[in-house]
Amino acid sequence: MAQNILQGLILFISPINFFVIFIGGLLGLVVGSLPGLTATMAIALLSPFTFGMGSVTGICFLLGLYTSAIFAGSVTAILVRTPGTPASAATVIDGYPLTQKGQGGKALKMSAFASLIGGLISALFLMFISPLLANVALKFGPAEYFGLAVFGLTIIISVSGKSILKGLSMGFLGLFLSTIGMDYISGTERFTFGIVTLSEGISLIPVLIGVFALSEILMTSSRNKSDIIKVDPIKNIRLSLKEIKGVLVSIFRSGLLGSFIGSIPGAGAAIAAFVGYNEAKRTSKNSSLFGTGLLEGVAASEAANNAVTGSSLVPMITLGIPGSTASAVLMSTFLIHGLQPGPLMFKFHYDVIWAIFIGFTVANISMFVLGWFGVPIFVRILKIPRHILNAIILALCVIGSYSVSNSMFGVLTMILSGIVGYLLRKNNYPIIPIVLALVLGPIAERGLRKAIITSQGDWSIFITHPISAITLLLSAISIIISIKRVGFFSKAKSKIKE
Amino acid sequence: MENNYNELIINICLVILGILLVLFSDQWVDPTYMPGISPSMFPKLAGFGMIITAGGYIIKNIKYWIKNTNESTRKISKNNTQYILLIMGVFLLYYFLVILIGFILATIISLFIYLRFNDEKKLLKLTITSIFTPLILYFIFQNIMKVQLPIGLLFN
Repeated sequence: MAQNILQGLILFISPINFFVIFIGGLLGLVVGSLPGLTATMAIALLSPFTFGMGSVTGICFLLGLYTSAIFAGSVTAILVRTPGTPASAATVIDGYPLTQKGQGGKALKMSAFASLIGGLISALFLMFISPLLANVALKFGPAEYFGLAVFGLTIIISVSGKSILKGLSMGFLGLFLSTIGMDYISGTERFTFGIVTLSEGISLIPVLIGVFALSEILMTSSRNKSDIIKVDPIKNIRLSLKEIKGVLVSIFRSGLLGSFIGSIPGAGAAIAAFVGYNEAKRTSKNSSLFGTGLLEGVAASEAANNAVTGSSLVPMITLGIPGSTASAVLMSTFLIHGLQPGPLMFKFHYDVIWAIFIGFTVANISMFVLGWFGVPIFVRILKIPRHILNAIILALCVIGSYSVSNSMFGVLTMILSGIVGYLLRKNNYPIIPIVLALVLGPIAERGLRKAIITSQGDWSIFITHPISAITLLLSAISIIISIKRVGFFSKAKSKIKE
Repeated sequence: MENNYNELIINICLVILGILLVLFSDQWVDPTYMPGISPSMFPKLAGFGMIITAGGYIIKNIKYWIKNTNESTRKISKNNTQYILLIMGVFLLYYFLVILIGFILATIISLFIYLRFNDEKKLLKLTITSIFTPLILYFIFQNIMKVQLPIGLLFN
């Protein structure tokens, strides 16, 4: 193995590789921070630029783009409450309140640091235990996916604030929205009312943009100008060693969780981010402060979502099965460069593989450097008067929603989501449960129904499959702990303002 | 306190939506003849869930609401409501304008109106923001990112 690493290092070390990683990182920062433009889109758009490059150089460019794009989603999530990518939706919960307190710069630095650690943990996973991870990932069938989705859905109770009933009702509303469209298994059209565009279902990104960004435009428009707290965003951007030390455990735990979840095909960074956030909240001494602007909340979600970047490549590289949409596009780039992902890659191209692993590690460091030193530039966004910033965000929201499917239906979805999101937020209803159910509902439904079909009606499949049984047990424990912590049927109205 | 009235309305809407979901979902036949896993399963689950949670919230808080709600708490700032409705109107206007005249012109008009509603009086700021924002965004997305933006039915 040492010889393989050395050969990979020799292949990687060249000024051009460092340069392309840096350029890819810069582009990733721009793309990832724009709502509606995903890392996958960026990789797909820019992969033709790699055709003239060497295989290692081209793939390292795209890895630099990928890691930075996932991190960059947190920039707008923290500063203007608009997650640039679905993976950053969990970062909004504590990131934006930190900006409101005048600590947006600090939150961004914490995000960069946590993303670095998460990315490096997943790099270690990729390098040293990818075959083992791939074998575990292969054991994930419908029952296991159902268990994982249910575990993710239990987070709804945790993010509901003091009123669990409100949070659950929003979760069920999100579940209903996730059923709109053509049924995956039977092909039945549900709640489409003959509208062809609804057959594809409600797209996640326009809903995210609407409930976060557009509702925030309405909230800041409705507030009296004297209510808006004016703080100097550039004043408080230093992150102390004590603050970093205080969140290291959460970062490592989230990094491990994200690395594991990322290796499961189809699981996604959004699930990892919410699970990482929830586990940090559950085990923290300051769990009651989560949601009010806590650096630990930002660190946990960002470490988890960036940890997915490396481990999502595991099934692709080891088995030739893309673990995410981004890795599917990356796989096409591998093929174009004459590399066939799969078990034989380790046999015939071990030097290239190790060069790519090292390139991925360098890409994370480059992402951190760009993110950390870019903070004073990012926070200057907050110097723009709010109403002008809202106007620019409004235009970006329209573009972002339109670009998902090149259809104005996405824009209409975004506007309606924004209006509904505003009305709910104004009356202290949490909206994160809607997003969670929209992401996890389809995974839970498909997992459940496919599991029952394959077991021919035997519901004990969820217990006889160990991974499913464990995740369902963990879900039950998570529910009990969350309910106990918050107090079911609490009479106090929810004070957590979103 | 005005939230009591609004919360009641929201919860009643959720209960009604839940009932409609449960009733409407019955039409989907189970193609595999296995009970409980038809296409109606999750919509019904969502429906029953909304009925139980929203209904439970109403029952839990109804006494509190009756005790604490009086005429004065129902007064909502009329000016604020009208202003918010106007902003929502701008959003919908923007949507229809994009369909009709395309992204650039629609954005110029909509941003201008939005900024005027927000009391932006300086003509220079109004012009720069409402004109340059769509032009710069159009250039970045259309020419660099290769994202096709709508050109409008009138120019199509």
